[in-house]
Amino acid sequence: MATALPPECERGARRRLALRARDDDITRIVARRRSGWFEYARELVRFRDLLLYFVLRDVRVRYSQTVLGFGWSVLQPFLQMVVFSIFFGGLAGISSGDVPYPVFSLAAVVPWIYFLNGVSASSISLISNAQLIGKVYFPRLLVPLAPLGAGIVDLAIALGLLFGVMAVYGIFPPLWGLLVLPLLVVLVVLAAAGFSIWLAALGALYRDVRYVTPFFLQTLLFVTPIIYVVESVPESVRPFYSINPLVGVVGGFRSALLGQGPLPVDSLMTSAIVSITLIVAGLWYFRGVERAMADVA
Amino acid sequence: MSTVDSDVMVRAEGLGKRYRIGATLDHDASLIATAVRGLAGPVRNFRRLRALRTFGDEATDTRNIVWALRDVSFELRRGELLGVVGRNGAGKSTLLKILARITEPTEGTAELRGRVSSLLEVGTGFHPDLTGRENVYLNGTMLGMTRREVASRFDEIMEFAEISKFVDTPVKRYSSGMYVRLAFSIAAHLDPDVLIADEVLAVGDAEFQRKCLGEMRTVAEGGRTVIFVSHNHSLISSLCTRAIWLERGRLRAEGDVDTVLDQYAHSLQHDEAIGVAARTDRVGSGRIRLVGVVLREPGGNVLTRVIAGQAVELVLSYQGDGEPLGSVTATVTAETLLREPILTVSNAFSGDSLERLPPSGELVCRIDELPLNEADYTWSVRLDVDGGMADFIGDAARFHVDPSSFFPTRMYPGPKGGWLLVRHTWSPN
Repeated sequence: MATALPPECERGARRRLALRARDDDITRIVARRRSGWFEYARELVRFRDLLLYFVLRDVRVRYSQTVLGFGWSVLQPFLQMVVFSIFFGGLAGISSGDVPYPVFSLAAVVPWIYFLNGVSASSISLISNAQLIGKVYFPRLLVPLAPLGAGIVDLAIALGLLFGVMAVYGIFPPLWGLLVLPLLVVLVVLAAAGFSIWLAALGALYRDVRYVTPFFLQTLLFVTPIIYVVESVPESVRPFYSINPLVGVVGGFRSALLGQGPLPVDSLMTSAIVSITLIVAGLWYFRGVERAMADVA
Repeated sequence: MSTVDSDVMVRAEGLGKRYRIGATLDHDASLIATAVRGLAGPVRNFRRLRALRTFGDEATDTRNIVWALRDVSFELRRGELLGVVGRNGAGKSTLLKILARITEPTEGTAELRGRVSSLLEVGTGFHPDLTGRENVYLNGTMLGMTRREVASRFDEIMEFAEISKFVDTPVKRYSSGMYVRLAFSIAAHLDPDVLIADEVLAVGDAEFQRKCLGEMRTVAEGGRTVIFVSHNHSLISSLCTRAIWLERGRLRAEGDVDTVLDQYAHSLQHDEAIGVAARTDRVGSGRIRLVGVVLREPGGNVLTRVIAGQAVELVLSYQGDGEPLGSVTATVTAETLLREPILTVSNAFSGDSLERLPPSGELVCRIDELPLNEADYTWSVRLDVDGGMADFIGDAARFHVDPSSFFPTRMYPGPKGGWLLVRHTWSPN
């Protein structure tokens, strides 16, 4: 009599059939030796889907149990714009060039808030995920990158707000500006990544970073032309000033979307070069810390 | 490995891991001393924090260095299930963490062939606010699957975990049983070539444990290789084909599972009972340390042999670190010499609070009728202070139970009648 296999056996058999030829894939663990950059990149590619779910987790969890939910993505930049407009544009009478102060500040606040939230979350991400890091292997780099991915959702919503406020003031972006916008978004993500990788790695070792980051970000707010026009900075100082990668980004946003001045190609190039340098050097440092992360985080 | 036998799935050679200890923040008694240290602090702190990840040339500084693992080599072939045994602190977890690439070895090499999945904790990375479905994807990709692989096994995972109805419910609304079943089910469907697992079967209800065990066997029969750490020797002997025995970070024995388990059990039995106070294989913060365990007649003589059914007091002597002790939880498990747990007593169960204790002293647990059958047993003791584990010692003290007139008939099940005696009555229905 033919007997049907119990489900467990059937599953086992199915799996045996599914056994793929991947034996040539060998994991080598060698004391005190880093894997090559190529292998590192391959690991990142292998775990790319995890990044997606880390991002999803951060998006879902960020506004869970809040009353306003994603309303915060709109409210945060909006309130910032109102405060800046009243105190800097109104009381202090800071010039905003040829566009109304609210739009002027919001065009800078939108990328700035992305940067601020992303870098703040990333800098403590390795500590807040320490439990995970001690229990399972995956490329640690995904942890500080996830908040930057999650922030893009907020950035998209905030851009919607920006376009709305612009429409209220009768300002419409030129077509070329809309085409340049994705490039500007890439630049602000790169800038955030450059700082995040460094701060996350340093933060895993030195908890001081938790206290330094807010101060650093507050200073950066003033060293970026967010509440004032870039022309207020003396011409002779401006090349150094543009080392701050956000200078180019903010200038780019105002030029491409508000039509304020020509596209600041020089500072955009500087921004890209500085950000990429920060990322590459940061990766190098991060990988050094990564090896000991489970033991110290 | 690439040049030789393709059936060797895991090869470890001279693995060692050293940790630097004493890098905790110490504090001062006086305000002035604190201020002085505070001023000199940053430089010293910086050096110390840096030192956590750099072992420079100060290899001569042996005071602060412990080798959690040293000179461990073994080979594992396709389809073999390796059990790892040893006392607490023997290096079992460190070995797994190295093989799972969570931590780096200080010396030696290891090579693993094919896809490696590690399961050091059930449900790592589950987020309570995400639904069952989302957590399956998050956890699955974290354990090394691609999104597509998770999708192709999704229904199977849910079915195995028996929670298909709650796919879109946030896991924070799951019962702990459902949570554990889902977590294990993901791990069981990883389809790895090498599976590294730590005590994960010690969770869930008996029925599900049995199912998990079957799944682990299926994995091995499918040509996979499993490395498994457990304190449960009967589990290891029924599941594994080979075993290694670690002691103080070194490989003490290796070979056929029954041989190694025999040797290990033998050593446990013949281990001279060094005083609890001198034991170093402890786990915990050390805020309070167990320095003695004895059984005595209520308020009277210390016993080394107990009569089954006798009223006894279990006395735990402790030594605190001088800080005020808030609330202490004492949990004691009676185990067989093969470390199978038999019963557990705790003031957390009885509801007796142990608060504001003197810096050192004794805790007494009264057991009105010790329900243990004739055999040798040992106590495992865990002390928690303010909710954090302060001290854990396995095999802290042995005792022998003699047969007795537990039952009114003076009849007796004998040593083969199991571990427990219970009062009972019979009647026709």
